[in-house]
Amino acid sequence: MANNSSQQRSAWKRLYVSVLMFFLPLLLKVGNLLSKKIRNETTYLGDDFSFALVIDNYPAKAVFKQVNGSWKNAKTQVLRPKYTITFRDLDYAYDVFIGNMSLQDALAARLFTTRGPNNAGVSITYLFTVILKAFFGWRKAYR
Amino acid sequence: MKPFEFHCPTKIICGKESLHKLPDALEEHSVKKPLLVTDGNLVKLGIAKHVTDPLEEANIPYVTYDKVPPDSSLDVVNEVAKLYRDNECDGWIALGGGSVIDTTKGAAASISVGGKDFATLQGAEILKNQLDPFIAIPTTAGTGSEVTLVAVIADTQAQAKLSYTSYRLVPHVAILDPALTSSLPPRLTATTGIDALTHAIEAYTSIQKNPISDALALYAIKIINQNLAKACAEPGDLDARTNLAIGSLIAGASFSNAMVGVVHALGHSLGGLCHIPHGHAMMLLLPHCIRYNISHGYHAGLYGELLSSLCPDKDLTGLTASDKDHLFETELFAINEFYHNTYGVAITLSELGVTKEDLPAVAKQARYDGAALYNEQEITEEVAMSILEAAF
Repeated sequence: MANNSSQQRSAWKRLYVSVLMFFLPLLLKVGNLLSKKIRNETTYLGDDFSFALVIDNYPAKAVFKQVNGSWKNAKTQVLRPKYTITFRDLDYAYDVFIGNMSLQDALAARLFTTRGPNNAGVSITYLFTVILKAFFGWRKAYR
Repeated sequence: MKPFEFHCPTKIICGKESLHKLPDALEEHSVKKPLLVTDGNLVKLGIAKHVTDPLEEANIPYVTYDKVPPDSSLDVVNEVAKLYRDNECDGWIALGGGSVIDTTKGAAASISVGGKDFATLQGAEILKNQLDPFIAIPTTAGTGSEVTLVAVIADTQAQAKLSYTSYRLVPHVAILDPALTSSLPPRLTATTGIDALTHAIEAYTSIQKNPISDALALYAIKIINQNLAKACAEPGDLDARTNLAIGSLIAGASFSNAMVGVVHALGHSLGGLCHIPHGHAMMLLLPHCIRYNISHGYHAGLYGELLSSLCPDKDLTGLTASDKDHLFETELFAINEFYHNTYGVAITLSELGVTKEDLPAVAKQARYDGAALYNEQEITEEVAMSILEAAF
């Protein structure tokens, strides 16, 4: 039974994370229209900036590129993103994307690795914190 | 308790004449031809001889690079890596302060990935291969780089300090020999010592703090503060020098596993844009950052917990947690005043030639410094400006 439940949970996590990764570029685009903080970080990162979100041993991947001050899904266009965030496990990505854990706590627990310039990484962290807070501000991790 | 990782695999060899064990340390790691990385001053002052003599006595061939500048850059890192490759070296000896040790880490990392430009390796935990055997021999008691996973290198084009972090960057061996630091002048002893103190204090309030880094931070603060004034007053006091080196190393092990925050974010930015030496930046910023944090209710009670390490003889009975926080802040200002009055150490930015016009750029860069991520509160440009203005 334990195995079964674990598999079901895992299937739900896979589905949730895949759907979220698919819609993330759109969320970023909308967030950019609605939030001054996100726009500030978008401006800081600059036009043509690209970054990827990947999970170790998991096929789903999101790639974002900034074009004319807005964010686009660039999975098929960008081969070498300027910055990459890699979650070390699907469960860790799920915990962050469902608001179980704040991005700051995930960073503190070293649940993801990064490749690329530090300043860009800091800006992306600020940007995602705004988005995650907007959705999960009511959850304990963000209160 | 929040999940955490702790990593400190460095073998530590400490004490008077501990450099005599250098040949053994090399043999233990099967190093036949090390590259000794250092700076010209250490050669000129005869300090490098403390390292080269045991190598020569043991007939160990070595190659020397002695041109590491105080604020090393990516170009120097790549030059050192090239020298290592060209001479077919098989191990590293870094003799110097933070700049030398971090430059060597950069070059070693570059070699570990087949000689790639170090600039392309920015990020956290992206190095997968082990470095060749790496022996760090600090000549200042401050950076703790001999046991940390961090390398800070200047990007001269961008006028920024870049930090690289990876468990792979932790040296295999650290040799602490007080003979190497006994000629350090009081001002430099003071500022590098306060750098170490800052590591411990920021590790204790970082988002990545954990019970092990906390325990190390508490001990480091105690041992540093007990020995810093002594080492400045009597540079040849080898006990004080050894204790200070141990304090710096322990603070390094603490912050390597907990990271640092706003003081370092601002300090890196001041270093990159205004060329303020790192230890000096830490010294003059530390009390102002803590005053800012306390006045905004950040880390309430945590600073007070450090008070018994900073001032073990002080009677703290009857004091509230808030009283202790404020007393901690007051003590840090008093420490700065002491070094200012006794040794003429500058404790304001204006004394160091920074102008008001420099501050906005410093504040902006600090907001996006890697250390900013580990500060519990977001460092806005307004926050950074208010601290810089207070330290002006």
